Amino acid sequence: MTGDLVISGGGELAVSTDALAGAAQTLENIAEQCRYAANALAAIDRGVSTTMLRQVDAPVSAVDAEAEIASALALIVDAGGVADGLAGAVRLSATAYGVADSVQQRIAQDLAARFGYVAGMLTPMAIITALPALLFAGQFALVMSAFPGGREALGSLATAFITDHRRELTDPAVVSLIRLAVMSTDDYIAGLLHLPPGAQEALGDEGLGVVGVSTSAAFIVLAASQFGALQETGVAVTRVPTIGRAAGATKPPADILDRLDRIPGPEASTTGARVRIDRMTIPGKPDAFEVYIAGTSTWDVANSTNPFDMTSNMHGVAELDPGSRRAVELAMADAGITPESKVVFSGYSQGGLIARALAASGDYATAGLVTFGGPGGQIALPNSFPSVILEHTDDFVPALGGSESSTEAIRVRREVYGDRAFDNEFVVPAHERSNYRDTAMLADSAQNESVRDAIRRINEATDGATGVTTTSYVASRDAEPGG
Amino acid sequence: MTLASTDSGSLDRDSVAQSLSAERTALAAVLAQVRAARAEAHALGSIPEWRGIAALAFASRSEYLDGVLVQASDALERAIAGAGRAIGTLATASGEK
Repeated sequence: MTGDLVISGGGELAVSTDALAGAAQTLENIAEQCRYAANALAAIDRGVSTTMLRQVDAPVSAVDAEAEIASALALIVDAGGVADGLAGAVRLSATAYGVADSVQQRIAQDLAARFGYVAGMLTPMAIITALPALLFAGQFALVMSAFPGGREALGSLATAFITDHRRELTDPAVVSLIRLAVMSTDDYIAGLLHLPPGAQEALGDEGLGVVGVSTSAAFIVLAASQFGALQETGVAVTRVPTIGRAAGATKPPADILDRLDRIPGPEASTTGARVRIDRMTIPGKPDAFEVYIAGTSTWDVANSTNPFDMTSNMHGVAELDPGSRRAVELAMADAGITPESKVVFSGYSQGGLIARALAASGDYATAGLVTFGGPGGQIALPNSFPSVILEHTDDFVPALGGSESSTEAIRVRREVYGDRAFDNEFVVPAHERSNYRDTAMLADSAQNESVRDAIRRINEATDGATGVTTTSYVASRDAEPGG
Repeated sequence: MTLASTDSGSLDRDSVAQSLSAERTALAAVLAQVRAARAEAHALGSIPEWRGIAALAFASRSEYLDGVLVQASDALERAIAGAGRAIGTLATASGEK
């Protein structure tokens, strides 16, 4: 099931695979064992000397034994030194890799930004050339999306495209390119608007970050709304029975996997639950809460009845006010969560995006955040609570949210497939929950101290809980936009 | 450990044999520790992260570490065997005395 974990964050530049961290730890253990062995041998060697053996006319074998002890002592001291040095080198290489990774990412992002800007500058010429085809495609999409059957047909086309290009879209290099393309969308728009290059660089992700992925997404939302797509509506939530994994949990979640299992998943399809809230009773303390948010339910861009749709995805990346976020807020209020309540947020896919936005909003006493494949990398995270971000390097969904902006969040990455064959029943295999379950299990058993510490700190919010009350919610949209 | 001496101040062969016996027991404990360290060092050689130009240096140092610990184990085994033979010889000589 592996791909080794690659762990970064915690405010450090080091990027470490869990195996490397484990190797460094093992080497330090070896060095420690060598020190004990050397001390023990030195003590043994002091007890019996060659002079003494000669004095009692001891056999040659005893003298030889003493010589072997001296030889072993020298070898063990050497081994201890090598182990110590190697442990230090492994830890240093993780830091060096992190620095190189950071610099490489920065250079690539800068180049992509410049490329995007030039492409934007040249787009008018390209549009003039391709205008007839674009007009036809646009009209076709609009006409299709005006009819329920047409939207389904468009959805089928999109699904067919992703399925046909599954291999390419599950290549970590392509996923990196998608991330760079998303990060340079603002530069493309700046070029399109013929903004001066200096202004574009100063304001963009590579500069002050005033404009970036969110402004680009907002631009797309604005443009699409002119055609009746990606328009927000009012939302409502209704309580439904909790079913599926860990439905009858009587204890707070113990780890990352436990949290993923409590996010409403395919098992909840009969009720349609998208949000689950666990209220923890802690003697002598105010109740604490864990909020679990599911992913996208429908790829509809218009006339959707479910707020966990593409409209919410786009509004979420644009850092606007997506319907799914408002639905979770309604559910939280219904569950009794106040601004003072301690809350741990967990979310998968779109749920990860919403969880991150809510955790970072400052509207709640956030005590922790765990996301799985969420496209929320550009939402700034405060350092006031621990965060664990799980991403697959061959999953393009998190890449749609741009690069990770937090240096404090613990980022756990893994390539799921590599040379391994795909599970053909999945449209986006590396985004599948089952694969994130495997990654969660690996993260929970990781030897990396940053991961362990983050899990421990997140669990502190519900330490000592004696009871759990679970409530699940289904969300719905109002029929008319604007609500 | 220290060697016992006779009343005249000279070292006693039985005491030397006892000391060597204690030494052999202590050496066996050290050997177990070194073998455990060696097993860990040996396992390091098989992790897939020892790849790439920089990691090749780690791989060779890891192999060296493994080799040194093997040599140390061998030396300790020889020391234990040597002490065992010496104890036997000393015991025989003591019995003949």
